[in-house]
Order: sequence, then C-alpha cells, then structure tokens
Amino acid sequence: MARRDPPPEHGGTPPGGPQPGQKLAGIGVSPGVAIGHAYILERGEVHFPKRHVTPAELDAELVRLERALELSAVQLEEIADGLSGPLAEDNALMLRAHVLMVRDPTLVEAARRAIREEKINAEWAVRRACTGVKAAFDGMADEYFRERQHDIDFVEKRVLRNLMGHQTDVPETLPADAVVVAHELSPADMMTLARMKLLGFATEVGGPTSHTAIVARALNIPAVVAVPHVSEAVGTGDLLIVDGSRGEILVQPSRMVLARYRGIRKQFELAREELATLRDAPAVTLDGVTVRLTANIELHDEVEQALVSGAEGVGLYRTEYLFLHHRRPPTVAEHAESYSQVARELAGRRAVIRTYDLGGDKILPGSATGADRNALGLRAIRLAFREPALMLDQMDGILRATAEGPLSIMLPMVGSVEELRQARGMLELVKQRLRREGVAFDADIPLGLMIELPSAVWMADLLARECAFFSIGTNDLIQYTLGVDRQDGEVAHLYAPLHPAILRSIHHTVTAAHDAGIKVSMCGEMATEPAYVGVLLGLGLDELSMPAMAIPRIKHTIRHWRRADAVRVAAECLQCATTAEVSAVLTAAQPEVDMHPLAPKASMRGASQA
Amino acid sequence: MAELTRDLVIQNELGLHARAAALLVGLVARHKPDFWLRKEDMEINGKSIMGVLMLAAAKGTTLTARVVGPEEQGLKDMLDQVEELVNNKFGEGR
Repeated sequence: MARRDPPPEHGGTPPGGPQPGQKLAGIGVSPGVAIGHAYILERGEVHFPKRHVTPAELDAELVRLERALELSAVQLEEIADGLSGPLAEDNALMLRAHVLMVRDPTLVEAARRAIREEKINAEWAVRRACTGVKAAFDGMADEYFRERQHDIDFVEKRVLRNLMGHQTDVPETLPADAVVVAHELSPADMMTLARMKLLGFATEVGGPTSHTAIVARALNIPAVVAVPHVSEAVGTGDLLIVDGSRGEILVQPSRMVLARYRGIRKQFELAREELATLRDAPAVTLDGVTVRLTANIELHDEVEQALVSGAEGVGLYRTEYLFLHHRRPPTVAEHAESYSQVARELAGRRAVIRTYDLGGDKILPGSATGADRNALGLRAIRLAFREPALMLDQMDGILRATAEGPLSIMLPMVGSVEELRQARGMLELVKQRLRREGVAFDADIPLGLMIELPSAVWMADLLARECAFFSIGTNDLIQYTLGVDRQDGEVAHLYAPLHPAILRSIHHTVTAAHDAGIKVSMCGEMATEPAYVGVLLGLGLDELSMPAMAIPRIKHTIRHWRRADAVRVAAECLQCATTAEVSAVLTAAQPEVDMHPLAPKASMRGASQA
Repeated sequence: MAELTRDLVIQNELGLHARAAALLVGLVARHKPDFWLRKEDMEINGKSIMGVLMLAAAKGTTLTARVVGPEEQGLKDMLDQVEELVNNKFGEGR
C-alpha cells in the first residue's frame, strides 16, 4: 500500500534552496491538484540554545518555564474547546491527556529541579525532563504504552516552541492560497487546520490512515504524505503544486509545467462538479435497468464522502482496520460502536459488514497465530474457526448495532458449504446469547458470502440456497483462478480481469445466485473500471461496490449503456477464446462516454485489497 | 496527617490506557490530598498522567491506592470516587 518511489536526487536540503522544477514523490492520500504557495509549519526538531545560567538568572528561568507550561496548557485547552463534529469527543480527550502531561507534576518538578540544581536554561531542562520520561517508556513491553512516547514528544515540542517564542499553533488565518507543508502534523494541528481555508497538504510522515489523510479527504483537499524532506526542500512562499491523485509535489514549477497543471486542475474541478450533479441521478441504463451502486469503506468517517458521491449504501465495510488500529482484538463494545456509527450515518441505508479478513498480508498483532501467512494460508474465515472468540465478539457487536440501522454480515474466503454452516452456527449462538440477555437486534440479519475462491464459484448453486447474497471479490478471485500472485513482478502481467475464465466464473456465479433468488454484488477493483461496466451489466450483476470516488464515473458510464446491448456483448465475450478477443469485443462495443481525462481515479486506496 | 489505602482491580478491557488515565488523573487532581498508586513494587504519583501510564496496568491488575491528607473523611470520599470510576470501567462499558 505504501508505495514510495525512491527519493529524488536532490532529496536532502538542496544547496542554495529549492531546485526549480524539482519533483518530490510521496503517497497521494486525497486526490486533486492544488497550486499555491508553501506555508511551512515548523514541526520537526526544535533547535534551542543550551546554556548554563548564573544564580542571578535562576528565578527568571523558572518563571519562563512556568509561563511556557501554562501557555501550552491553555493553547491545548482552547483547541479542545473549539472542536465539533463526529470525532470531537475522542479528539478532545486526546488533547486533555496532552494538557495533563503539560501539567504533570513529575515532569514539571524534574524540569524545575534541573534548572535549580544543574543551573541550566529552561529549554534544556524541559528536554532533560522529557528525555528521562521517554526513556522510561522506551523499555516497556506493551506496545501501546511504549507508543505514548509520541504524545510526550508532541507536548515537549509545544513547550519548547513556547519557550523559544516560536509559532506553536497554526495562526488564526493563513495566506489566501496556502499549501501547508510540515514534517508532521499533530492531532492538535489537524484539528485547527480543519477549520481553515487552505489548498493542500504535504507532510514527511503519515500514511493513508493517518490523521492528516483522513482530515484531508473529509475536507476534499489534495494531500500527499510521506514525502521525504519536503519541509526542508521547500521554503515558505515557494510556488507548489500538490498532485494528490499521483502523490507528487512539484516545487517552483516552470511556466510550462504550471500551465499544464492549471489545465489538469481545471479539468479535475470540472469533472468533479459535473460528476457531483450526477449524485442524485439514478444509476440506470438507457433502457431503464437500475444497478445499485454502493461504497467500499474502511473507516466510519468515510460514510459522509460515500453519500456525497452518491452511494446508496455501503457494499463492503472492511473491518481489519479496527483490529490493526487497536493493536489487539476489539471488544464487543468497540465493535458495536463502530458499526452503530456507520449505521447512524447511513440513516437507513444498508451497510454490509465483512467479518475480519486477517492473515494473508494483514497480520493480527498480539495473536498467538500472528505469524507470517500467505494467501493460501490461515486467514479470514479459517482464522475465525481457529480462534472463534474473535468472530463471536465481532458478530455480537454487529448484531447489537442492528438496533441503529440495517446491517448485513458478509463472510470472506468461504470455499465450502460446511464453512458457511459453521459460521451460521456461530451467528445463531450469538443470537441466543443476546436473546437471553434481552438485547434488541435484527434476528433476520442477512448473512452473505464473498465469492473469491474457485471452489465457491463451483459450489455457488448450493451455497446460494443457504445464504442471503453473494459479493464477488475480484482481486482474490482472479488471483486464485489464474494462479497469479500480482505482487510477483515476473507474473503480474498474467493477472487479467478479462480472462475468459474470470468472465465465465462471474457468469456461473450470477446464474446460480439468480436461480436461487438471491442478488449478486461485485466489490473488487474490477467494479471500478468504466471499460468493464458493459460486460458486468451484461453478466447481470445487481450491485457494484467501490471506493466512493469511483462511483460518479461508473454511474456516468452505466447511463450510457443499454442493458440489451450489454447482454449481447457479455454473451459474445463468454464465447471468446482469449483475453485479447474479449478486449476487442468490449472496445468495439464501448459507447461514446465523455469522460474528463482526470476524472477522479479510484485506485488510490481500498480497491487493491478487496 | 492521615493516610488510607485501598486495593483497586482494573476491570475494563483496555486497562489503564491514555483515556482512562486522563479521567483518573483529572479526578484526583480536583482533590487536595496526595494520591499514590502502587503496582507490585512500583509506586507512582497518581496525579501524574505519565506516572499512571508507566504502570502499564492491564485488565485484571491490582493497584494499591494510597492517599495522604489532613482529614480522614476527605480521604475516604476521594478513595470512594476513585473506586467508583475504576469499578465503572471508566465509563467504557466493558
């Protein structure tokens, strides 16, 4: 996921300032193009003079310390007080913990003592005190507690900046066309920035699920994270292009590059506007057949974006993040709270919750069986049978959350009827438990399956009799059907969604499902590609689920097709001998669809893991 | 000076993590008496969030709270409130 190109040649601090035209690569976490002037927030190491103070200066130094501590606490409290929105309570508590650290008697006393006894200046004393505390955390066995060092770090830097008279918080107003550049942005920074007008973000640390990324996406502001040395390579006021779609920062671009990106930005904005008008239009073919379009999400705060993009619900809620985020299995209450939040935000629309798909490339920390696993190993439903407590707790949480809105359960990696029955047995067990406890829940919660193993395709008719819906996970289905590991560069070219075997597998699955009277969705990357829309329509899929950003362009494409043509095209494709023949049939049948060349690409995140 | 001690068992699933520690420290900071927490042979100032976090107290850990102050009733009230917070699992429900 965290693909990162090697840093450019002038990756370090370039002699003589930024190199005009320099391109820095990072991870695009919020798409779009921003062109503006860099606004550097100093968030790296705080440099300060270390000096010994004379006895006459001691008192003044102690006063400086008190003032800086008080100021830091007040700043953090102000930010916490100003919070609103869905994450406000959690975020405020995080900031209150930081306030308590600033006022921590152990820390404050250590700093005071260092000034008095070692006769050093306040900055040095704060550094000493914090280093001492961090060292105590460093040796801790529990990762969660060890990581609290970062909180102390944020607090230490804030106090040091206040001592030095440096800017600590984002100023009340930013220049009109600011692109915020920083080493990293603390939760406090992002909470403040979220209320301001700015054009883009570039940071040196972070990933797709970092606070910066989540906030940037929520605000629809282009952002690139994990850009090596960006805060050193760029100066305040430098002209910058943030390409959040490609994950690139262009420093002091030439006039030609600038003109090109202005064009791209214009197109992106036009496309976004135009596609936004599609939001409330139905995903209906020219001859009146509707396809349900839903969103793939990983965090509950992606629901808002999904609805803005026109999603009719959530077709795939990946729950692995819950496990990875907590670095331990979530509790029933945490499960229930996450799913309840999604249900509430969807306001009556359905969410399909996929039980955890851990193992394989995603390893459950703290699990006894958390060893390295591969795609054919102990993962997903297999792990659930090995460690039933994890699955039972998750099912319990999901059932409790059905009080807040319609939810479905989807099982990953099922390859046999026995597995389906075993999982259903677990679900019934949890239902009985809840009934005994008198907890209200949806007793008819639909239980469906991911179709991603060839064995599931071949058993589809019998599986369909015992479950409520199918959702085809194309990434794994293609990998397992064609026997191709897409991560292996030597064979990656053999990974072909249009391979006739894949189309036949989809056809077989859909036919079996429809014969049994259940619906079929597709939630893999294949559903995000406009060029495949025709054949998928023709094969009879009832629903397509994809990252929110892809919904408008898929809807746009659907509205250019006739179902009758699509059925004919699909039938023709099913007779093709080679992938190339399939491609040719599709290309010839493709209706004229006016797509802006940079309509949001959906491949940024999520789709690759379905 | 009076002194009282009381054993507390951490019952919430997450243990004495940052949120819980912030609630505990926030509570005891509102009271005048000194407040100490001991886990095995490590005793820390319970008004220090870093100290509390350093205990790394997981679910099931027994901590001994010790309060020192001028009048006994105040100490007992303080311990009662701390005990209630701990037994309520810091409002986490689990």
